[in-house]
Amino acid sequence: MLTNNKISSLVIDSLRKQTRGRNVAVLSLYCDYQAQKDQSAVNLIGALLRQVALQARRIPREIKSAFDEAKQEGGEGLRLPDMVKLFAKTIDSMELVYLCVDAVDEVLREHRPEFLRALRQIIRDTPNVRLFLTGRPYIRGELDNYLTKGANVIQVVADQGDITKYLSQRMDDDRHQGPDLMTEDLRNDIMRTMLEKASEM
Amino acid sequence: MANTIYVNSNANVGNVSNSYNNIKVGIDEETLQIHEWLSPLEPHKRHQDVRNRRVDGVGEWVLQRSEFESWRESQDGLANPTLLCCGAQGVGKTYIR
Repeated sequence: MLTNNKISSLVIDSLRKQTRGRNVAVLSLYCDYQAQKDQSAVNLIGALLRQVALQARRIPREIKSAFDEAKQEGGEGLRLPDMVKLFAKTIDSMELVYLCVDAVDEVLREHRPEFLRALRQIIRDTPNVRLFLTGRPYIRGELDNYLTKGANVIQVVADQGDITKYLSQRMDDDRHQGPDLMTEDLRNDIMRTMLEKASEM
Repeated sequence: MANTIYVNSNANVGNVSNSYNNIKVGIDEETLQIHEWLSPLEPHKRHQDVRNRRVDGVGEWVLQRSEFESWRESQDGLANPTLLCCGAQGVGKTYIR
């Protein structure tokens, strides 16, 4: 229903809408996605740069010259410290950069410290960055060590309004498929039971 | 750098995932190489998938929380420009799909 990734997508869409026309970038990372083994710190930070490149009309010159340089030296990928520096340099002239990192707890344990350190360096070095994170509660202690000490926190709880909206839509869908099966009584029954269960959580 | 040619840009108006593909067709070889060189990950595709599955209005309260607004509008140089959204276990995935 209201999964972390849906919150992230909502936040991203809302930030994009509110900053349209300004020199602002809204960049996303969904860590529950694709092969986790590919989600090394350098690939994750690289994916932010890839979005900067994708959203720009042409490849930013900082990225282009780093690429040309790498090509001359055999075409290898950047190392993490250089990727972080390139990111900072590329976004330097922007008014604001929102980084939205979904499901940070799903980054593999072996990659996580490096990734969190890279994010910490980015927010320290580039004052125009705002960082939005989602994660399951158990990751909180680990995040506090790197990033979130003193940060604002929103606890996501089962919101009654959300549950009602979600269930209504799902039951409407069901009714279209079988109008005789989803009666008004059944509908009310489902809604009541679900709200009761949710409030017991 | 070669000129960018947007192939087929009038078709599929309103279909963002298709327009990504069209842009891909339209950009030159080197730009694609640079994208690949930066990272094999393409989280913007995941974003499109997730937003399509969202029910309108659900979660809007997060955007109205004062923590969110003050984070969004915070000035540069803040001690900690981070906002953490922590989902309690059971909200979402494991509870209702």
